[in-house]
Amino acid sequence: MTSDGFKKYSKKKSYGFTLADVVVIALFLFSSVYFFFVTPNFAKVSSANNTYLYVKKGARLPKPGTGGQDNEQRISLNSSVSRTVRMGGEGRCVVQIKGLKVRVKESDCPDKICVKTGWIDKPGQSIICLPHRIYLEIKGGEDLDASIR
Amino acid sequence: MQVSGENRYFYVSLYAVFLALGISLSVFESLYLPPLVIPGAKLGLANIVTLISLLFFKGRDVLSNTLLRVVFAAFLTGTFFTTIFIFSITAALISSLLVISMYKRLYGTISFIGLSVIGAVSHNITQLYVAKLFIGTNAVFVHLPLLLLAGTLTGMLNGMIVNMIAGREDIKWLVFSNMNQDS
Repeated sequence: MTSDGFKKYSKKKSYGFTLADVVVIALFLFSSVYFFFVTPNFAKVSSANNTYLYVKKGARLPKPGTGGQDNEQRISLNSSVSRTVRMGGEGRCVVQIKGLKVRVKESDCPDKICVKTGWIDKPGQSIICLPHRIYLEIKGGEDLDASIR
Repeated sequence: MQVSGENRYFYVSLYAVFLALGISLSVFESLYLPPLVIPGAKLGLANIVTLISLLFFKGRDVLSNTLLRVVFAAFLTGTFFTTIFIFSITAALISSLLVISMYKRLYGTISFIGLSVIGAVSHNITQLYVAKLFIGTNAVFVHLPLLLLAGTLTGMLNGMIVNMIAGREDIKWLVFSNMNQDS
């Protein structure tokens, strides 16, 4: 410690809050409240950027000796995309993507379970159409991929 | 650590005492105190020692004392070279550099309370940035407001304790006898 610093230190009479302390504390408390309102949106945008629609077509139980013949596809989702994708080969299965939401709009399969599932928009949700062998899942986003003690 | 003059033994001994105090406080904290509600937040009792050592040592010795404390505490709690260790060592480095330089220029205007708050908050923000580098998403910044709040409150608590300690006559006497033959 320099002797300068010691003079300042030993001259001090009170050891309570100084004005600068109060300013610093108020600044951080204020920014805490400010970020409390700002960061949730910020995080939502960032997680929306890496969600994608995982599509698996023609999935079947693997036979011994045959490799994966599955047809996989990834379609990235963001709020500006709006389109329909035709799947299902000879059959008819129309997947509609609107922003971050996905649904099967039309299908010619007998039970229409895929159509009745409706819109999915959260990571982990899925739509399955067994007759067409189509599997749709939203992936990415806020999946837990690390935990910190 | 290069100290000359009559008091160099005193200086080195004090360095060891402060290191021991810091290690015991941080091990005690991580082993026996329950974690706070907010993930990643803790009291940081060992920073009391770091702040008081500012009164006694040169800046680089305060820095090395803090870093050594983090390393030894990691040895003792079994987190050495894990992700947690990397978080805490970088955060300790950045925040103590900041606090040491602010102490040199601003002590007197700002007391230990403000220094402690700045140290705690910069520690938390550094950890968030390192976590972002590791995990690769901005989603870690969801913790930012809570960590700012926690850093401010725990920093205030520690700073008030440090101010109480720094006001004591015996500490003043110790500081005085340490810098008496300061070269």
